[in-house]
Order: sequence, then C-alpha cells, then structure tokens
Amino acid sequence: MIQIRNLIKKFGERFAVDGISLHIKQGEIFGLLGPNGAGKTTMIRMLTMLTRPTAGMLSINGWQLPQDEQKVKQILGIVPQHFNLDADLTARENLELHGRLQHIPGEKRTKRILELLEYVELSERADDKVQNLSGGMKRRLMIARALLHEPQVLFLDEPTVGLDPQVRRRLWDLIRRMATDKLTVMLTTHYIEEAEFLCGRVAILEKGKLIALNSPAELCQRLGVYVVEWNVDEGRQTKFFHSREEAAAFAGTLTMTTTIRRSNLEDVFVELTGRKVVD
Amino acid sequence: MGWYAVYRREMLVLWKQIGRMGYVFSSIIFPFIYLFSFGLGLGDRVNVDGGYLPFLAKGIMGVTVMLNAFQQTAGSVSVGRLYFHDFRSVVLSPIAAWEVVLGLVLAGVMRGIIFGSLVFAIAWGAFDVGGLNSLAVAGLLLGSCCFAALGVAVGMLVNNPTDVSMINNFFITPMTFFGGSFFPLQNLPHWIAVIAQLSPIGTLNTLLRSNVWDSGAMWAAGTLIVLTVCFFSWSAWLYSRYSE
Ligand SMILES: Nc1ncnc2c1ncn2[C@@H]1O[C@H](COP(=O)(O)OP(=O)(O)OP(=O)(O)O)[C@@H](O)[C@H]1O
Ligand SMILES: [Mg+2]
Repeated sequence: MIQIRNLIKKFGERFAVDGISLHIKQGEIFGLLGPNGAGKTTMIRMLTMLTRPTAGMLSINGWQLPQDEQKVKQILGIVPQHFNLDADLTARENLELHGRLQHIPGEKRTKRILELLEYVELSERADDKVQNLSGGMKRRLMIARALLHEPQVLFLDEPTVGLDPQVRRRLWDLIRRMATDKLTVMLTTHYIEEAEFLCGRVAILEKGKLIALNSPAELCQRLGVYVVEWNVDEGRQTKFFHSREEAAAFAGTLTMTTTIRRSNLEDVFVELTGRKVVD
Repeated sequence: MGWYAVYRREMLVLWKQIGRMGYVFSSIIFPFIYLFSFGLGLGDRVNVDGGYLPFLAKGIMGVTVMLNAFQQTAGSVSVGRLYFHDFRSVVLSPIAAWEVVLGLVLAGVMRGIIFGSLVFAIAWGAFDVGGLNSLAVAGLLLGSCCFAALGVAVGMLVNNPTDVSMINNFFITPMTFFGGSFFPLQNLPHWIAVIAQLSPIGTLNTLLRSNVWDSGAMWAAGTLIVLTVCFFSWSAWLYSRYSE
C-alpha cells in the first residue's frame, strides 16, 4: 500500500529523515516510534504531501508522489499532531467544510457527518464552537474529520496525546475495528503500550534513521523474552535472557533483590534508543 | 467545484468575523478617518475637476479595496499557515492549485467589494459625492481581483510577522499616501507622480475616477487584468510548490 524508498528530508544542514525505506501492506496497523525529534512527524508530513521530500521515492496505492498527488490525497485521512481545526467554527461546520474540500456530495456529506459525530460521541456538542471544546474532544473531532471521506490510508500522529485513559482505550478499540482490509493505518506514538496493543509492526526511528523494524513480539524475542531487573545507586539495571532458567541463574548470582519479568516493547525501545521515553 | 469549497471556507470565517462588530469597525476605521479628516479638513480647498469630495470618496474606496482585498487575504493565508495551521486542511485536500487560488482570490474579492462599497456608501451619505459609474464599478471589481491575487501570493511567501510589517511599511503605506488617493498627483515631484501613476493603486484610481471609457480608462482596466493574471499565476505556482 505504501512504498517508501530512500526517503530523505533535510532542513538546512540537518537531516530530519535520513534514507528510510519501508513497505507497508494493505490493512496493516503500522507504528512509528522514536524519541522526540526522531523524524516521525516529518515522515508523515512527507507521505501526506505537506512537506516535500529532499530526495527519495514515495508511492501510495501504486500511485507515485508527487505526480499523482491529487489522486493520493483523496484516499488519505490525516490526524495531525497539532490542532488544525478552524477554532471559530463549530464542530459540524468543520466537518462540513472538510467534506466539501474532499468532494463529498451534499446528501452523503450530511449523513456521514451525523454518523461520525455519533461515532466519536460528539453529537451533543456538534454546534459548539471548536475553541470551546476540551482537548480530548478536539482530538476526537479531528479523528471524525479524518474518517469522513472514507479514506483507505489513515495517518495518526500521536492520536491519543492528552486523552484520559478511558477515552484512549475506546480509541484503541476504534482504531482496531477500523483497520480492516480496506483501511491501512500508520500511527506515531510515545505510548509504547499503545504501539504494542495496536500495531502489527513497528519501526523505531532515531535521528532520522531506521534502527529497528519488526512486530513487537519479534523485537522482544530478539532482545530476550525474560528480563532481570535490579536496582543500584545509579538507577535501575536490566539484563535480557532467552529463557527463564538463564534469567533465574543470573538472578541467583546477584546479591541484591531482583525481579524477573517478561520483556516488552518499552524495553526494546529503551535498549535501542538508550533513553527512557518522556512524553 | 474544489474552488467553491475553499471560497466557502474563507467566507464562513469572514461572516463570523463580520458578526463581531469590532471587525467591521476595524476594517473601515482607517478609511473612515481619512474620509472625514481630508473631507472636512481640505473640503473644497483642493482643486480637481468634478470637485474634491467625489475625487476623495473614490480614492478612499480604492484604498479600502487595497487594504481589505490585499491585507486581509494575505493575513488570512499567512496566519492560517503559520499560527493556526488551518491552512493545512486546504493543503491536504485533493484540490488543484489553481482552484485553491481561485477560491482564496474570490473570497478576497468579496472582502474588497463589501468594505469598498460600505466606505463609499458612508461617503455618499455624509458628503455630496455623486454615484458610481460603470468605470468605478469595474474598478471596484478589477482592483479587488488584482489586490486579492497579490494577497494570496504574499500570504504564501511571508514567514513571520516582521515580513508582514515590512510589506506594510514599504509598499502599502506609501501606496496609500502617494498613490493619488487623497490628493491629485500633479502636485507631487514628477518622478514620484510617474511611479505612483504606474503602481497598482494609481492605476486603480485612474479607472475609478474616469468618466468615459476612453483609452486611459481602457489602459488602466487592461493593466489591472494583466496584473491579476500575473499575480494569480504566481500564487498558483507558489501553492503547487508549497512545503512546510
Ligand atoms: N519546518 C522545520 N524546519 C526546520 N526543522 C524542522 C522542521 N520540522 C521539523 N524539523 C526538525 O526535524 C527533526 C524531526 O522533527 P519531527 O517533528 O519529525 O520529530 P518527531 O519524531 O515527530 O518528534 P516528536 O516526538 O517531538 O513529535 C527535528 O530535529 C526538528 O527540529
Ligand atoms: Mg512529532
């Protein structure tokens, strides 16, 4: 569905994205992870043609970019990292305008707007000005807007930032339900458990480079499924093992209290990027 | 009909703004001050064919067209790009560059026409300035097109508020005062008069104040059309290369 070959974006002398190649299959939920400034947003902006690449090849649904820009834009749904709603207009008006910008004919537009307001549970607030909505409501409205024209590829740039845990869970369910054969999803997130829960595969970026690409389970597997954790004065130490026996044997050699647990994507992330993710 | 979606979006925002009286007031406050200060202050002391007040009223209508069609359009595009990021919703939509620019320009034209005629109506109510002939109406339309198209291009080019005030200080303010809007150009040094005459606002004034479709008026109308086409193409080119 999405082909990326040797994609590069330079801002001045700095590489924001530095030679990334990826192939994302139809119906996949694909996660982009990486510390702040890794180039996740820049990747998404290039795929949505908000930012022009410095070099590289991009194609979506077999269409080349930027040549088939108009066609591609019709099948993309985008939830950006930063709010870009018209604050002066109501929720309904925002959807209405988006529907027009996406060439959805009148009757269908009205119907879809009602459906989606329902879907993201904003029907009650449909005629409130966007500036009077809470952060979470705005984000839900952006998701409704992205889905209005029934896109085939959905880009979500940190879709659950600032949402309370219940809403976040509901949104995860929503995303899972949406991602069928008809909808391919690419999302970025700083919540590792989000990526673990949702994504079939994840790519970990650092300083614009791809440093890992696989399913969360495979990545854990490779690192070692068992972790021994212990505390020293400098902080928490971890060591990874492929079997519980090896882990237990190692733990036995330590004098301080240890914990043995299964590794998760967060461990992979921290091992690879060498930093704790701070949001 | 992609252009219509873009146009409608701008208009929806404009109507909301007009709903707040402060916006209307601030859109015409400068023209209003010019009108009454020059109108009452100079009154009949300036000698022009057909009387100073009709001359002034049309000149101020031209300035209003420039301020609203140009400044408001450039402002709307640049603020939408740089601060509120709502311009992205247009950039991300599958609408061709020329249609986007057409929608933005038409919205700017509406701004020019609405506030230009409002200011002229005030002048008409307050002073004895006569009506608008076909040339003045053509001027109102073409002037709005030309300045709105320039506004889109400038809105796409500026990268910070300093750029905007540079343009205001170096182009808009000089054009406002030296463009022949408030007093006849023949009193100015020759070289300034020539530049002013050839500036978009000078050309617009010529058309607004002509009484018959003579060669001068035709030339002015033609110039505005050519400028509109140039600014429009420039805007569409800039939009097609747009990248954040
Ligand atoms: N318009 C721009 N001009 C200059 N540099 C930019 C621009 N946009 C992004 N960058 C730089 O590119 C790099 C990647 O930024 P990007 O926003 O893609 O990171 P990110 O992975 O989305 O980070 P975050 O997790 O903080 O959202 C950063 O170094 C950033 O400063
Ligand atoms: Mg980002």
